[in-house]
Amino acid sequence: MFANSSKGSEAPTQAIGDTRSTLRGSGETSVISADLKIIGDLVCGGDIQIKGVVEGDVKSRTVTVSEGARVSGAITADSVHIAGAIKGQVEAPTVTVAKTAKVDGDITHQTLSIEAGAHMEGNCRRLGAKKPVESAATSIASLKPASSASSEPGKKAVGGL
Amino acid sequence: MFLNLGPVRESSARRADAGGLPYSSEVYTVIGGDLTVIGDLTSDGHVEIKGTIKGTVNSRSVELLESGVIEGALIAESVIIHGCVVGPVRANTVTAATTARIVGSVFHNVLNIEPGASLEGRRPWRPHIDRHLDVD
Repeated sequence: MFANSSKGSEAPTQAIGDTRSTLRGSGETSVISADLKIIGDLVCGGDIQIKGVVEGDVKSRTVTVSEGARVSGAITADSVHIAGAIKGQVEAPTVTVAKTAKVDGDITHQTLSIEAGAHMEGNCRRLGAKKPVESAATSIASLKPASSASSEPGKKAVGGL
Repeated sequence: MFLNLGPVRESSARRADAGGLPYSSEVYTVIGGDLTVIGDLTSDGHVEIKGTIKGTVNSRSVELLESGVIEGALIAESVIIHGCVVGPVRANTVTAATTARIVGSVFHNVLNIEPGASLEGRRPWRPHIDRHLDVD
């Protein structure tokens, strides 16, 4: 079904090895095979390896998007390895982007590694760092005098008075 | 068809290592015990479910293990059920194992119910069930 599924190139093999090693500890890894399509969200406390198509959000401990896989939706995890195509936001402390990856969306990370050749479209932001818009908004809010905030009854709670 | 896979409780990882699978790893999906899918699954291969699916599962063959739960329709060519299905089952070959619990109609051509299985609902026979057609 997918052009890459039968090639057995380096990145997915390595990814399989990675998940297998963590699998020993946790007991099992969920595998979404190349011919499987999920329309909906995935929530997992363990590890997920995606080789097929997921149209929805993925929340898990570790997520591996293998070469040939396609994810349209946000990925939130502790660790994400990307070798396939992603359209959506990625948020994880550890993000690895392989050379076969195609990422269309923002990456929020603490540790990010991108292999040469990877296709990246979007912003990379460190976890915990404020978004430019947010930080601007909070700085404006802090500039406002407290009396003006308290004069509006609806904003009392926001003003913290 | 996949009845002689070996012990059902054997972990998929060990099975994959042992080889001799009727399906290559490319078409072998495992939904782990801690995975919840809220949505629909479509596959032309084999799906092994230990987790929870809230939605429709449509696959060539499905094995729902004891910890597996499907809240929605289960459509396949052949299916072995050890877990719980709340919703209709449509498959040519349906095997309800001793621990199975099915709440819903079971459309089948061949139905195998092991002692202890709990089936609540109608069990209509059909000459053939095409999983690509949405009938019945």
